[in-house]
Amino acid sequence: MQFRQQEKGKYLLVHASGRLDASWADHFSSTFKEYIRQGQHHILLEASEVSYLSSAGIRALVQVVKSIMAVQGSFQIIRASSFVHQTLQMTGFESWLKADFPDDLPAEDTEAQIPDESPFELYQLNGSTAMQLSVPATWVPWKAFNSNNLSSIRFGHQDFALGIGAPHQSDQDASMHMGEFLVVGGNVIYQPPREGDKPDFLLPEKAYLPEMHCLQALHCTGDMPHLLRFSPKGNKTYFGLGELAEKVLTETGSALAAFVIFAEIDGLVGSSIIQSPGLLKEDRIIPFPDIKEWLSFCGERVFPRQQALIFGMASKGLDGKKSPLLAGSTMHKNLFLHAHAAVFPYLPIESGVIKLKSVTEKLFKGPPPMALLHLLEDSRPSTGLGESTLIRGACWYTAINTNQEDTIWA
Amino acid sequence: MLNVNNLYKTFAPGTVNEVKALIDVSLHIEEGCFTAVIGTNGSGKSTLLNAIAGSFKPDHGRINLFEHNITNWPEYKRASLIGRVFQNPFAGTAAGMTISENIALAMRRGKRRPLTAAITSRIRDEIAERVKTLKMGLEDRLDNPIGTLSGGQRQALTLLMASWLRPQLLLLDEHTAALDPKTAAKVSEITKEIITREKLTAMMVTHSMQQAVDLSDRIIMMHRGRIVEDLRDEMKARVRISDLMQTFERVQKLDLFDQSVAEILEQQFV
Repeated sequence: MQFRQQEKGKYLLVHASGRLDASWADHFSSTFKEYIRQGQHHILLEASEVSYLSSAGIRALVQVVKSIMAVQGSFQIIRASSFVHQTLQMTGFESWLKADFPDDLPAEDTEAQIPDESPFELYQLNGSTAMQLSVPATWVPWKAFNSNNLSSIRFGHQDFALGIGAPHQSDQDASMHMGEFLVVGGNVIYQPPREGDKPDFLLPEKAYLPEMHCLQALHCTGDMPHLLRFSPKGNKTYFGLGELAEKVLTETGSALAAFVIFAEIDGLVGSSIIQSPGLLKEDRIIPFPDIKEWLSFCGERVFPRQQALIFGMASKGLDGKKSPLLAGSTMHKNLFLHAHAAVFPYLPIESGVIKLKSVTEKLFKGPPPMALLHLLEDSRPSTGLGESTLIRGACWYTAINTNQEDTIWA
Repeated sequence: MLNVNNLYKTFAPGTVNEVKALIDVSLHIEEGCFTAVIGTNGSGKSTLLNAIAGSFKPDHGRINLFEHNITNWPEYKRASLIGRVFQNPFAGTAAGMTISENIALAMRRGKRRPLTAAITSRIRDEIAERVKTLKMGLEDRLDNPIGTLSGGQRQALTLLMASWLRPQLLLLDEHTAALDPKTAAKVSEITKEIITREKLTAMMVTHSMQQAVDLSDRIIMMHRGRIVEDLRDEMKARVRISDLMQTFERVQKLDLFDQSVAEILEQQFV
């Protein structure tokens, strides 16, 4: 089979030719799933030159339609050849068939009409204007572990957090298992501190609220009233985490902001705790190479084409002070950042306004997370991996209020 | 059963080509265990097998097989206890001799070979019966020179020969690596059958994650001369190919973690 495609307004018009049978079915469905991945959620299949359609071909069409419906898109077959038309009619799939192009299909290519289209879309959602931040646990590397400094937090649907902790019952048990976590809408994803272990997750269900014993926690409660959608346009093919954080700070006009990003990954840069800080008996400076026993480093840009769920906090800084909890950016001036990313297999989401809750519900019904990273910037000359970058997705964000500025800024 | 203690081996010591192939390798393998040894190129996995087989003497350390301390035994003496199959299908057999002659030699490995007829009718029947278990139709070609067979057929026969006397330890050194995928799968299947049927203790070096997961009871991963992962019992039971790939990536990335990375982490890890 051969395909030619044209972007026309919100539609992708695909001219197909050849036989859609068992030999071509996989190629057909993978080609169309790639269109969906590229953000094309309204597809018109011009099938006047599709000479044959078998049951294997219909199955491929059903898979494509299911994928499109999952992102609230649309799929129509236009000007089908008589064989395809007859086959779909007899098999009960005539609802896909349309005699001609939809009325709202522009005559010319959309790209030519609006070359300066912005890669960002901003939406105002419901909810309070700012979240409240608390910092109930303030461990910083590599202080001695003291169980008196642990803070147990139950996370509900309006809670967002990141930090280091463990979901175990007793303090002693927890001390052995202190790893990084992030919380989005009460959904906890936790990385056990052992290389090779998979991230675990705890979801709020009915009366159950996940509980973490936290050694370090930046904990916000409230709504995410703003939404930023980003997707590649023109020469802009990816978005740096720092760039998105700066955009969030600009849009909120706040000195401190929190954000959740759900996006297809271009490449992540980060590290993970691989030995529980609960084992630290005294304050330490851990030199190289001993640090390799405590932290892993990704070594290359990782998890391209997978999906990231990121929770982070960003600030423009405060009077030139340093922060023990927000890392100063080496690539963006006046930006302080702390973000954790959970990595999931790729999951397309619909365009436009989308609720964070519906995304997380859909996400946790699918395959489990593959990894959790503490995101970093690597600006080493020539060998540096840069910052984490994303291709397309959604960013919910809010301004932050706090009465713990002294804790955040040294 | 097999005990390897604190084994060290450095090739070309003190030269620019110095390679520390084994660094403090210790390993205990129980009787009847089929262990897969995986690792990156140059990780030391074949060196470990060769050290056990006696291809060279280690710089330091001790190797015990059952009650024998074989550390200083020459290779030919160890052959009475150890069967080997090599990567090259043309190694381990004599190309100009027939299938039955090759097997007759294997039947007397480590034993006296007096000047008597090597292949009696009874031995020939026994050979035919065992060769039939390979399900390759070779029992009808016992008088053909082994050099006329394909790589897969020769490797299957080598495997049969190496296990004929139920060696105390069977060493397989990437024995399917030179075969096409279909033949490699067939030889893997035969490997599993022979090892299970004969209840052999075996070590298999392989680059195939699929083989390691499907065939073995235990997986050892080597990197830069050391054992970096040892998956056994319930850990081996749950391991999947993707887990092994991740472990590979992890140990390779560890090499990229240098002083400059430590400096980044010091600045950025809060």
